[in-house]
Amino acid sequence: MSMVDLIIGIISFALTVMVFSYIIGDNFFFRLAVYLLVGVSAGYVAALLLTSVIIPKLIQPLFIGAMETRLLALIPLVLSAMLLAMLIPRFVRIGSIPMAYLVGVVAALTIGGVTMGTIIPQMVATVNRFAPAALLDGEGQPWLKIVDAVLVLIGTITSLLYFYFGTRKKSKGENKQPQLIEGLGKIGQVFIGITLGALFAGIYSAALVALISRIAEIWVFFGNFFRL
Amino acid sequence: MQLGLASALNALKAEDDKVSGSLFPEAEKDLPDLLRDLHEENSSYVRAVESSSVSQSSVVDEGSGQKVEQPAESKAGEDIPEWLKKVRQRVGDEGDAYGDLVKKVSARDSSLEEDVDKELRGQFEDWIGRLRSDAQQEAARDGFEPLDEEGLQGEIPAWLRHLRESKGVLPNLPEGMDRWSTSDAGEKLPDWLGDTGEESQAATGKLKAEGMPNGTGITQQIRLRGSGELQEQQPLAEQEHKTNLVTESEDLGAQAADLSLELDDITRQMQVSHASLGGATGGLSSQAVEEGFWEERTEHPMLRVARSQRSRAELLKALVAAEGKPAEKQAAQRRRKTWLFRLLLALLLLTAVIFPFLSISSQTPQTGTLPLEAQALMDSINALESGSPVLIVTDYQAGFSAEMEQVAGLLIRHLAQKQVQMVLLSTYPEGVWLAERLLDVSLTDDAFSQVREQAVNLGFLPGGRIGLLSYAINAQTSFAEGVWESSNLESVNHVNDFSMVLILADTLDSARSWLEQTGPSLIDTPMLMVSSTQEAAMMMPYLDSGQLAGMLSGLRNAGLYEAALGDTVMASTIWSAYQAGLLVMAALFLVGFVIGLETNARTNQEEERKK
Repeated sequence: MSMVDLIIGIISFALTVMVFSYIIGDNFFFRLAVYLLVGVSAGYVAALLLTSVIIPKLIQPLFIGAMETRLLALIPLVLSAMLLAMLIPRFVRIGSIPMAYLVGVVAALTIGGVTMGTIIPQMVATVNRFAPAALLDGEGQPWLKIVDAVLVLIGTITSLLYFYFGTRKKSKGENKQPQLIEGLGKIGQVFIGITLGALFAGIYSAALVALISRIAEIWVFFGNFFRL
Repeated sequence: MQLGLASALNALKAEDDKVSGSLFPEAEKDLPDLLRDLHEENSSYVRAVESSSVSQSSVVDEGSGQKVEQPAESKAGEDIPEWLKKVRQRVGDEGDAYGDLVKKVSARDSSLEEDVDKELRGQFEDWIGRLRSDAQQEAARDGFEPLDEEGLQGEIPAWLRHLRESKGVLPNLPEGMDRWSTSDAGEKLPDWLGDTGEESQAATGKLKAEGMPNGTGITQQIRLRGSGELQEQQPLAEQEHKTNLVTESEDLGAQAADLSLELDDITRQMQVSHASLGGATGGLSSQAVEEGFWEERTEHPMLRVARSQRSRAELLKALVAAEGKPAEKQAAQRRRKTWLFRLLLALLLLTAVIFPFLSISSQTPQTGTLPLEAQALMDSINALESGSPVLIVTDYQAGFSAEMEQVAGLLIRHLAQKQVQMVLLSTYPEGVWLAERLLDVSLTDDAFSQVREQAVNLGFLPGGRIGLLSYAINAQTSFAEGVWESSNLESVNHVNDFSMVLILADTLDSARSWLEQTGPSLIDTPMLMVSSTQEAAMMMPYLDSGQLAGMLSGLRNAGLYEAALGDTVMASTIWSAYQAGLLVMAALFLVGFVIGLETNARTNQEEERKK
């Protein structure tokens, strides 16, 4: 074990214990470890953005290449300056132009992506489960595949209906969902509950793996240390 | 009326001075501003009236609604303080309940003057009766009980009886048009409110003859009330309240008695004054009544609040009062219990997880069937040719590196066995060094050194979804000048030129961004996913739709994949610790579930028992 490994190991062990100390409640050592993490991360991100984005993609193009390229490079620089102007209350309105541009582009990308990349493909996939080729070909019993396809269809429809919040006005003035939709929504609630349960179990599983990994590293470190 | 008020106060002051001598020369300075202003105003008003030779009857006529001679009115108006003018103006202008009340009184007076028909008078009396009964009910709802003076005749001191006799106010008079006898609440009106100068002087004379109860004069009582203690407790509320009383007395005049039930705040004030002066009203001590009054009525007297609002205000008051007292102790005890409970659970879990490390066991491969999605992933990698460019996206945070490295490490070794060219990039800033670390911890074998050297880390891809789309359209221009050129990727101009895209994602958002923005650009290149266990369930629909060609997630599937490769790099201790940890967690969940059920049942039982 080299001296570097030793120092890194000691620091790593100390930080692990400091984070574990949260078991006995919020304390100075836990906060110190958190501050260290936040501070180091922020510093790292700032340095990375400066060296990977700002200088090579914003500053350098102003001095390299043809005149047209340089002039084009002025546009992001000006937009960035306008965004920075939002830090000064008097010039907030200036920054709203690039902000509006960004929000518009991201919204368009998101809507387009969700529609073409999630909604339509998954609708098609749900329908395709009932295709004769899918039911008859491949391994497994066809009737099991039909049950599976029906379950997926019911789950999809009822889960969507659970998020249907439209109501119909009754004669007495009270708003109420149609009973059919309300009943199907309750079935959807079961599917959503199962999904959330799976996610919850996944979170615990991931956290447990992180704990085991940390213990394993400490175990190896002490093993190497006492073997010296 | 104003003259009467002034005379009464002057007479009381003179009388009190005689009684107490100069015992309270300084106390007068301590009078509340309101009383001082009132006193000064009345004195000046008396002077003004005397100087202009206006008869007392003319002033009384003002109170009864008749016009007063203009010079006297204007003179008197000049002497009225500014605050009183504003109050009068507000009462005249405002359209609130009180303003309406005044308007109604005026309207009613006009109608009475024009039509003295008995039938109309009867209707009017019915209306007044309804008003009174409503106000009585309201007063009863507020917990205010009218005085039962008939039953307390023996307790009423002689001086108060004389005072009432001088005004013609006797509780046992038969009901009629007399304002004091027809209205219960009328008796609660301040005596000085309907007093004339003569009446007050007469009353003062008798009062002097009878002597003051407990040796305390009326003026002294008022002074004491206006002393510092009261100023500290309710200075503003009291002043405003007194202002309202004066305004009512001037504007309503003799009509105020008839409508006194509407002015329940005044009657309450008067009840307290009775208690304070007589010390015998309702069998309560004057101090107790007064303290109760000032403690209970903390809001503005004209403020109308619902009972629910008042109860909420009282709840808030109680919460504020209880803040930091016993609750702190309970919270500390609860914290201590939580701390101990948490420590116990942590120790239990740590013991379960550490135990496999202490036991010496042989490394045995996982047994079981590899899931279809993992099998598809393995097949995709097996189909790669040597030297094929493979894009590996390390979109996960450092907190998930332990799990991701355990799972993705297998795939990296598998890819290294196939001698492919690895190209790494990340849309996470920390993904840049996590990619390097992943290669370091996975390719420790010397056999992979060449692959490790050929691997290219393109670094950080900025711009989020915009950056991804840009990368999908033109991979080279998404990076800084020279990065692509130095990466020895001349054959790759587009994301579809890669032989495989392997995404290591810890969140669904990150994975979806890649699927939605770059997925449509992948025509014949498979997209594969290594997911964190917590998001694996959400990735399954993308497998069903065929957008993902394969997926690997979780320690168990990783173990099976490793076994299928014929490799045993993953320490069996890690798998054993994982199993032990899961077992303890499941047991704790079960215990927690049972305890929760038991607690709920007990709580329900207690609630039912309380009901």
